[in-house]
Amino acid sequence: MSIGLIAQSFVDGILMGGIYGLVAIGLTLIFGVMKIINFAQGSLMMLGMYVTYWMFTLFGVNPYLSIPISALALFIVGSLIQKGILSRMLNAPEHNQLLVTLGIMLFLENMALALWSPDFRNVQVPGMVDTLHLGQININTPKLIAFLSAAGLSILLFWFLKNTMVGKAIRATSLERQGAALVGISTSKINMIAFGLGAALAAVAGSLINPFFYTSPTVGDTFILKGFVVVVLGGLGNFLGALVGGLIIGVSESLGGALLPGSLKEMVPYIIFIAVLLLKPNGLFGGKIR
Amino acid sequence: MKKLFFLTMVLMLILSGCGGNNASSGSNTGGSASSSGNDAAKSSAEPSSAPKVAEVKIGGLYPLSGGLASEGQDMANAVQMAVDEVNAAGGIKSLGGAKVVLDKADSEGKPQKGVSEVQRLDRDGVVGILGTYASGVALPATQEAEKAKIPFVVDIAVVNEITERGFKYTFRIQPPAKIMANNFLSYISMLNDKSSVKLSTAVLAHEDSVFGSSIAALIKENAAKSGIKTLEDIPYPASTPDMSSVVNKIKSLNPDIVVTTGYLRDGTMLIKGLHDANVKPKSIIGVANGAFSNQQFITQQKDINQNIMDVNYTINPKSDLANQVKEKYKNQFQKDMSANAAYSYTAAQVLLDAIERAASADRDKIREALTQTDFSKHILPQSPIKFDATGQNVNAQAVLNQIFDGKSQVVFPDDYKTANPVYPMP
Repeated sequence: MSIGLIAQSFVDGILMGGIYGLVAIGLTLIFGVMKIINFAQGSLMMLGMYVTYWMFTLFGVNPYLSIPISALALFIVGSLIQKGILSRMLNAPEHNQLLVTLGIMLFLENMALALWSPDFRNVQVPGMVDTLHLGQININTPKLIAFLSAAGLSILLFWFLKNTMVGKAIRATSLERQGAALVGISTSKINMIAFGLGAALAAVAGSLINPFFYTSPTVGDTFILKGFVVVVLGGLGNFLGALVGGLIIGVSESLGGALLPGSLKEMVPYIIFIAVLLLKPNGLFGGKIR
Repeated sequence: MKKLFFLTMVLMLILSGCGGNNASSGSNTGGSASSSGNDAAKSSAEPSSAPKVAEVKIGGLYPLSGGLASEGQDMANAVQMAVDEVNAAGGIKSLGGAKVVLDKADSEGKPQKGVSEVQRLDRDGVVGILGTYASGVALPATQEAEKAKIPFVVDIAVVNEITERGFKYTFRIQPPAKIMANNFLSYISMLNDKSSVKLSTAVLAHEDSVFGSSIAALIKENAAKSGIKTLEDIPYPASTPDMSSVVNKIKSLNPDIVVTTGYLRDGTMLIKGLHDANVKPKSIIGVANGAFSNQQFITQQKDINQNIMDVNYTINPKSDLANQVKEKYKNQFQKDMSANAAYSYTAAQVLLDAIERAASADRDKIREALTQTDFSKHILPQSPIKFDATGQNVNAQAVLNQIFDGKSQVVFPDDYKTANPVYPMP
């Protein structure tokens, strides 16, 4: 095993980990506020990918410039899902809520299948250098951009929750729903905003992934399982935890792939996951949204 | 909270479970085919004199919806085309010009749906079934057809076991995994013989379900005989979001040849990853690769796919008949005829030919006629289609394709080649 292989695997792991973190941030926000485990997150990401794909194919919009459009579109879709379906379920037992989001996921996937066929689609960003070479190490540019955006977004969200009125209201609602309602916060509106934001984050993740990953109706499934692992590992409802969790999963997977034979690498992230939960049942940074 | 975690885990298990369509294979219950009497209605209708049948019904079992729908539709269209041709030429002549009716059945790519559709086709009185594309569907569907004593001509389904269970009513046109792996090994030794540079080390990168693993295992087992040393065998899940660990491993092993079996998405990611990491093996060869023989990969990845090879089933590029069929298909369906569709078209011809020779709409007589098949007016790159005792097309073979400038050409065997192989890659 050469040092080069390990260094390369480490870098790849960090980049991929940032992307897992990005997928997980939206998931963790929705859980933090509404206490709903959202299985439809992967499908919302898939919708975001299709927005970017069609904007590029039909109007030639650069995938990175279509991020605000897909974010806005999915914010609206997310708010409508929350208002129309989930808001009626807030007091239902947890497993019912879970099953409803599973239903939404199946609906969205099959809708995409019917509308856009199962073909794999992919956009190529015009005029972008695909790979940067740093000595022996190669860095995939779209992945680097996605990673930096993930880091930037989690800082931005952190700031937003700490310093804006809406952000403070979201935090208040996540801490104590009834108390927040008593002091005049419209918790139903906050729920809508939080779910919309979560969906928008999924869309941003989708748009950023688009240049190096194929869009298809079932693409969400590939990321959602890792997304859940990352969220639980970092502590439900914690953004920085989601990012750190993503990095741990990404690096362990990549190094495991380099050092272990065959399919064993698939086990490594889950072994770490179980080990962390045994020591810290609430995840690395478990607790309330912060 | 605990309950929530528990539920989440259960749901995750369900979710990850429904990812693949791999039916559990193997259950061997072929021997006890009890005649349930449901084909009595068919044969007893004939009077003792010359058979008078108005129409003959055949079934086409394909994934017409679901994730494999686009392939399934292509294949069902090809069967329809073959049926229409026979009807336009006067139907089944030995049955007094009986018209052939195609009864399309949708397997949705699901094993259990495939079985129930075979049962429906049985009730509808089909005299033979074509299908299925997905091996997971083919295994139980042929078993069900065996029970009902319906001849089943499998066009595409790669798993060896389909014709290895002692079934009497199952026939297969496609080269199975075993033949493809053997074809690969013989092609690679011939390439080495012809070339001044001998390539000797290989890494096998393959998706980790039965499709990729079975082919890789066969290659690994016999590689030494062809003078190839397998450095490592790297399985990966086809749904993986990230191929970089496979790429990094190949880079560190630095093999002469990368041999790979997988699907469109992972195959494309692998080639892109090798390109980005500046890994330049002297040859990249797919075996039954879902990417390297796919038009989307061939035409859209021109900048990275030059000189990539693939051992795969295909249409005969040198046959005039094949070119006419391809053109007709394109005019009728506004789509290039895929290799899958060509095999379905051929399977339909083989079945219709058997019905013609059987001069009967009796399933057993048609099965009997199928075993005597010697069909040479076909569009595949092989000598006449004949079935051995297991029902496998004995002359089935894969050819070696190579991609040049966004076009896939046959480079081996010589009888079918449209270009010369470039080996090793410059």
